[in-house]
Amino acid sequence: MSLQTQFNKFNETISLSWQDDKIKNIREKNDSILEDIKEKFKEKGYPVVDSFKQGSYITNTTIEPLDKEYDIDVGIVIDDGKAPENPIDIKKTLRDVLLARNFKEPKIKKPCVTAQYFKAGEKSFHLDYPIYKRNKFNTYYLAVGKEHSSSDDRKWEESDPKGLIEWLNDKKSFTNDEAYQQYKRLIRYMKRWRDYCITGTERKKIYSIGLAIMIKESFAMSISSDGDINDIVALQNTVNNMKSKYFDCIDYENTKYNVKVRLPVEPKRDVFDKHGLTVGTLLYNKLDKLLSNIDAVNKEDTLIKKCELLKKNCFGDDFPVPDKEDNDIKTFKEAGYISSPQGA
Amino acid sequence: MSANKSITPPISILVCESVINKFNLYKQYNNQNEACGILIGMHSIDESKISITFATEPDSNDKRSRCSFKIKSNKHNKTLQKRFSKSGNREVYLGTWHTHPEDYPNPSKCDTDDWLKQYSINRNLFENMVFVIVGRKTNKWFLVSENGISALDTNVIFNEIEEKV
Repeated sequence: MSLQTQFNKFNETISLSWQDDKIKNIREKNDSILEDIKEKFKEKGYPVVDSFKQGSYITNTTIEPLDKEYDIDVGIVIDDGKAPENPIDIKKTLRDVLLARNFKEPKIKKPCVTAQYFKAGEKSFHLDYPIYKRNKFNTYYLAVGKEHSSSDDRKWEESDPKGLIEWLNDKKSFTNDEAYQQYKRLIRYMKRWRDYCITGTERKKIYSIGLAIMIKESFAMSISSDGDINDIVALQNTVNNMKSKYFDCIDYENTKYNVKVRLPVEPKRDVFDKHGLTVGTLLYNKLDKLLSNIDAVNKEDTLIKKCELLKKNCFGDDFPVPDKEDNDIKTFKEAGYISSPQGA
Repeated sequence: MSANKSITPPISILVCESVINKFNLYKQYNNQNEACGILIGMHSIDESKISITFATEPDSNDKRSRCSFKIKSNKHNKTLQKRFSKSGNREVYLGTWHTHPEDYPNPSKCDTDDWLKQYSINRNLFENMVFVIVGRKTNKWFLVSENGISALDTNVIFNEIEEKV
């Protein structure tokens, strides 16, 4: 047994796909809410022309949430020519649909309309609906603004949600499929690390999309020419790259860091906009801690101790610790001599 | 010792699925040359189990023809040494694999002579070595020990194990 085997098991345990039986009722709810949205939007004169899943389900980096609250992110697209001038109007319509479905306190947030679903005995989940208008050149504009935003703060802002998905799923930027899969695993590991090591309101500030962009742009593959996969080395090197690439120390005395992660597509804004300093300082210190924890893991000589450290300090209970070492395996002084084998 | 006698020694051979998959890539259906490589894996302390965790693949420096092969590339040894040290001196040279352009392969004299040679060079290290011929329809496995070569009953020994990289 090797550490990589444990990482593989961990990856399997935390991965969650849209087709998973565990979220069947959420899928069904989502479909039926979408039907209501379509009906209402049609009535209002701006029919839905497309809807698509955004976020981690479509990039295959969803993980089982520790707080058991599932997130769903669905983009709603209407035609540019039929869109109301004020983007808040359409956001209110969507909020009304959610209200009619007995959601408690659906909210109009800056980039989307959001609601929480709780029901005793059922899985709770969190819904985010960004709304876009699309013109004939296939350019998307996101409905931005809160309910009482001034006319300056509400707008249809150019955005490229599908481009972002394509960018995150672009295999061409990787040496091969194995490397691409390793990158996706690192995203899952880092998300679970965040959920386990950072709690409360702080955790909510470390957006998954920020992590995913940083990981892709800092990715350091660790697969040898023989195909030996080593996720812990890839993780360590990638995190090191992230630290030097995105963080600027702006206060040496109080060691404060600013973080800036730009969206790779329109509107190319900073993901941590306005929170750069809080998130930067928090995340930098946490990444540092992660690296020193990985160092400690590397210094342990037995697999059990390595796994126990990873479980306790980095990933929580889902990281598997084997029951016993492979101590029934013989060790040798030499690997053996290959003496020009031949045959016919 | 006859290579044709099928016996079941008190030893089980566990083979990683990825090793079998690798063999399948090289089966000689058409006019391909014989393919060859070394088997890498672990021995249990009581020598009741041998786990085959890795098989190297033919390299351009190996000599290969339709009906013969010779492993000349040092890539095989490089891989072996790397896995040996990475596994904490557990993964070792177990033997070789090669393909035959026949459905139910039989070893040639040249094959068995070489297996005995590989064993005699390594007998101070290992009690048993494992060799396999990959045919078009079946693979034939052999154990080489102090008692010579014995064919292994594939159905008895074959077990898929999880890959241990």
